[in-house]
Amino acid sequence: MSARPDIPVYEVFSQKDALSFATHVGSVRAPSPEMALQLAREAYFRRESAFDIWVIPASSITHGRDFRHTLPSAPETKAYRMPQGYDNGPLWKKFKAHAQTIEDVAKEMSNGRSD
Amino acid sequence: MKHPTTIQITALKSLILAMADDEWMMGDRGATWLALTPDLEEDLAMSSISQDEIGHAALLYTLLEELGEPGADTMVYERGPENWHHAVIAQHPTHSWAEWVVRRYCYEVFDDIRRKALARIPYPPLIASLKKMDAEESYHLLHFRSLMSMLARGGPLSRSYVDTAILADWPLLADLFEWGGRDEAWVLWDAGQLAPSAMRSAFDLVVQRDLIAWELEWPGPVRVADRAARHHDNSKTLPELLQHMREVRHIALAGNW
Repeated sequence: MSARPDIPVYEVFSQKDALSFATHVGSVRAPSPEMALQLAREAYFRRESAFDIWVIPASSITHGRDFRHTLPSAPETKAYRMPQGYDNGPLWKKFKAHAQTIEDVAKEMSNGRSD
Repeated sequence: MKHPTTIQITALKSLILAMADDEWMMGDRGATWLALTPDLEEDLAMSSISQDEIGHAALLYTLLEELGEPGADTMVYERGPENWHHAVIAQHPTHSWAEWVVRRYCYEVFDDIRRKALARIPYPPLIASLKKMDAEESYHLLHFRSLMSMLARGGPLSRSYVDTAILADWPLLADLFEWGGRDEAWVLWDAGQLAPSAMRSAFDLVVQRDLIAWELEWPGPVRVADRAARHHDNSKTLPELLQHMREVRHIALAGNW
């Protein structure tokens, strides 16, 4: 695409209803924000309606890729943040099976985990 | 109008037919811009707008069918040139993008005035159809107004294109405001807005205001049409246009399209 500073790119977002998040649907080139809205309507909403449409000059968007250190790290190194990080299932089973009191469980836990 | 009289039905048909044929022709002419507009986005918008117009024509031909006329397919693909009653401007060939924008802007301003006038006729199916059209048509008007404003303010070159286009189109606007049928057609209803002179002055008012706002020269009021308005019996170009429009259809006339 050739650079046309007089016809900038607008990113188009739509909200299906008042409570949904705005979702990116594509982009259009237009000489003004209002024209961008008019063209987005015909480019992306010919067969469906929208509660709201946002157009944002692509140049106003700050990209994380341009500031690499801000990008989130790969999720596998954060396994401890996932719900599976704490395996409480067996302890609960034991608690129910032996009619333990909550104090027993606490004692057991302080002696170190045992399955 | 619970039980329209024969005179009222004839009148109603001539009012609806003028609009149906305008919409069809504008849609058909608009479709020829496919892949030729200045950019991809406008191409999508223009083809969508043209589909809207053809959809509106279909809606109006259906109204006519309910009033005893042949169906939409017959009206579009089999009617002789002498029975078409669109305004001359709707079928006129376009030479430039600016000319098309000026023409469509004028047509949309006019169409807005005409829809409001027609809505005064107490015929529920017509009012329901006009309501369906309104949402799309108000977008058309907005869009062509934006394009006009852009061309007018786009520098000396684009401005000169608009100036030329306005001067070229002005003399062709006259018969838009006529109804094609007999005078009684609109006199029957107590709606002064339906009178060609009323529609013309409403149009002049809006367009003059817009052109002044865009710092364009207003060429003065639209002239009054002659008696042959919206009649194409002697047109040299219409038979050719209709033939071109029907070319594909006529490959297999009896076919189920």
